[in-house]
Amino acid sequence: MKKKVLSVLLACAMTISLAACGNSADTAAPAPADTASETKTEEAAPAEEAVEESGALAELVDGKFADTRHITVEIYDRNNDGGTDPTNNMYTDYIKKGMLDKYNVEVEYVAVPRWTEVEEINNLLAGGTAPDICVTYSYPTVLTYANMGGIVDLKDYAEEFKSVTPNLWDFIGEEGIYWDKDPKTGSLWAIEGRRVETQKSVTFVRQDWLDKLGLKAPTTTEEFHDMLVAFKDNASELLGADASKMVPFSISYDVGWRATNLIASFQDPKMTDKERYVNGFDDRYATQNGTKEAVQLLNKWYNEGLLWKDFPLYPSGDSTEDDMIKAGYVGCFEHNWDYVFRNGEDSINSNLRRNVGEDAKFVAIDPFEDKNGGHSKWMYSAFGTDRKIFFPSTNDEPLASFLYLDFISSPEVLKYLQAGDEGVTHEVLESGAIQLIAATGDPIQNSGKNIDYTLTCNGTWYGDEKTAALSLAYGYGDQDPELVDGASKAAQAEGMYPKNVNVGEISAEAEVGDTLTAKRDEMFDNAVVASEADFDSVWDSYMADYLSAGGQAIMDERAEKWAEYFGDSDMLP
Amino acid sequence: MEENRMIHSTKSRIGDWGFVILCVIVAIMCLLPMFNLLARSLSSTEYLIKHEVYLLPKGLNFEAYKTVLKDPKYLRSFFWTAFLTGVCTILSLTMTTLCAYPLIFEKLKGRHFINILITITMFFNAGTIPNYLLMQKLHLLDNPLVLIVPGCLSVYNMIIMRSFFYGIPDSLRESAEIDGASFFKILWVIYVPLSKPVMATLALFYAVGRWNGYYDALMYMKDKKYYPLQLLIYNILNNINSVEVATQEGFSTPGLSDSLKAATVMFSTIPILCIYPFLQKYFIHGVTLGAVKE
Repeated sequence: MKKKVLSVLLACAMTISLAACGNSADTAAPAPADTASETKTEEAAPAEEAVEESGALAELVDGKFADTRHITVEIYDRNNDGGTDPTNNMYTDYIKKGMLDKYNVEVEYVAVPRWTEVEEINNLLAGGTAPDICVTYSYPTVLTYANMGGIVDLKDYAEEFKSVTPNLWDFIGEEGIYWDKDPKTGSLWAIEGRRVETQKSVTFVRQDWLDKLGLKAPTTTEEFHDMLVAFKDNASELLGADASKMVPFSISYDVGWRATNLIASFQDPKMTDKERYVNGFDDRYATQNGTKEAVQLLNKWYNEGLLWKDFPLYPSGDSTEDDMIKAGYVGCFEHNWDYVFRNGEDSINSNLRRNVGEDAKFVAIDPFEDKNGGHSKWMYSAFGTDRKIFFPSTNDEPLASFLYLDFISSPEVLKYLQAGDEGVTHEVLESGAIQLIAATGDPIQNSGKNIDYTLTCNGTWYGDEKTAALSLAYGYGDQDPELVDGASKAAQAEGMYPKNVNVGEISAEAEVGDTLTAKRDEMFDNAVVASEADFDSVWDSYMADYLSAGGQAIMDERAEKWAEYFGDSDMLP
Repeated sequence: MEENRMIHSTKSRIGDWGFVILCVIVAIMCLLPMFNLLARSLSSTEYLIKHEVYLLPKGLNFEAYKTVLKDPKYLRSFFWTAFLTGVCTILSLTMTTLCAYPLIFEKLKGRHFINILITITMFFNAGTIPNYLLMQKLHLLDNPLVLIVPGCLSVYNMIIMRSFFYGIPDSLRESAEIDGASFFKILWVIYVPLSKPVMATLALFYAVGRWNGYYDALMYMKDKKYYPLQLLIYNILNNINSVEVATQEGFSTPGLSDSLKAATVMFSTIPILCIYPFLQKYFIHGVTLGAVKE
């Protein structure tokens, strides 16, 4: 009897503690968020008054605050070998001095580990100690906290402070500032950073192999295929004793990314915006029309022995494929437009020079032609793919924060943050192009192009478009500027930009992102390695699984939302 | 004399050999990656790129180890982690003993209930954010104590020790009580000396756990002076491996060479490997401790 009573009590205790534990994670976050929303409404009241009598702007005397304001800014800490302290170095000193002189605003940096940035931001927001200006790559995190009332709505501030933030509006522009604006409520939870280098992917081929076999660079998919066959057939001539290691075309488990230009060439260039949008949830175009045929072509090539046999076996981050490319066994592959130039001495081209020979190098080509004979390919959208800047509701200084964003978007500051001091970290060439010198010691940039500090800018800018375009080729250490320029142009040739379709949140997309990504990768991998006869059945069965796991729900909801906002029209207004 | 010549039937001999072969295969599967890592840390880059290094180093050189040992960051982290492990082990053993000892007395009021409560904490964890808020309220963030205090008592280990204490005959305790020994004196004079096997086992568990642990430092410690060794390695490996991040950001951080990576990992594993043989005999005994009931 006693045992029975005790076991019932125990069961109750466990259920209660489970429920308590389950709730505490939610109540812990909204608790600070509740107080946060209270302070927000308190702030909103004076802010409304401020809008009426332009009080906030009136705080500025000659463009400066009368009394010193204090803001904290998030900075990524990458803990990279040989890096400097991200909260205290040459660049932070420059920004702090500039902000103090220009606006009488003291800036303090809060370091957040780059690899756990989402969890860390969650912790800081929950604990109420988040910095005034926060940054993240993950928009769903912003939305989650916005729904709890933990983020400042920027829609009024952006307009109100427009007159004192000319650089921000100039650089980001109306398109970027209102990119994430909710179409129904008009709320603006985050400002998008701008990606100035929108080149995406390009196909690289071994120029020395082409020369050895007397081939021209292919300009059609047929010629590309013939080139791969030529590499395979002449393996012993090209690689000598290592002929068995020949890989004509290398690809990774992420087939959609590593064959993106090929897939783009199978899409109808005249596809309607509506079709693009409804089928376009997946960033590797899994559910887009034309992708199946592209993957079928890859499957055919795989069965002819033209692709890397083991590509599905190596996960993300594994260096086997890179090592193979650096050792000289690979003839051709598709990747980021500057992939063979990255990392200076350890770059692919530098490694080839060392391991294979002086004239071994990868050059960019543009072979895949679409239905109309053109070479259209996707570019990165300037907005929506980079960081989102938001202010937690603990931010008491929205004007000072906006002035900070304006400061780091101004041309001189961007130029200094990216190029540093002349003679120390860069040289100015005759053409006006800026060439970077490898930095040591304090001027080291912890992140490429110092993007951790240039929150609103991702990519080579140096203050204006002209210098940026000229200097791009010189930003890669001792790489041949002509090759870099060629790759950049190849990636931009007939480039298409994705358009922003702003219909608010698609609820079907929440939470299924990771599952669908995994299923998509499985689908592509299995379809490519299947035998030619089995391709259709393999693809169809995996596609059915993908759709039932949430893909179909997303497409249906997207179609609904499209009809709601754009009616019967197929194109965006 | 006769007992030494037991009759082994063929069946049992085959069974024995089968078992031995299985154990050898498992042992080899565990050892091979270590040998490969050792070989990679001693090889030169060209062979590593061509993936030609298996069990023996090619292009033997000690550059990677020289770099690791010369870098003050690794050495400081090594000594800090060693110090931390020592302090944590001693503290944890003390706390575990003090927790296990009272729980063996039947006359402790509410003993059953306390046991159940303690066991519940073993199964349920509040999660990242509540833990973070707790550390914040306790002012333990960025404080070296956060690496020592929160994890100092493991309920699982405490249960092992409690089971061991159950195994010690009551008569020893009672005879000491009759002689007038106090509560703590009995613990110190009788139970602790008898518990050497379980102490060594738990010391090994705690030491390895602390040496390999990095998650709490990742979440709660921003000051680089106090990073455990494993967290350094975590950062190094992440800086090289994050392909998605590189695609997102449009650049990739130049990483360490493969041999340097391997050398760093060896650097953090070797100390524990060295301690293990000394505690091995206690370890085997300790794992089976809870299994035998009197």
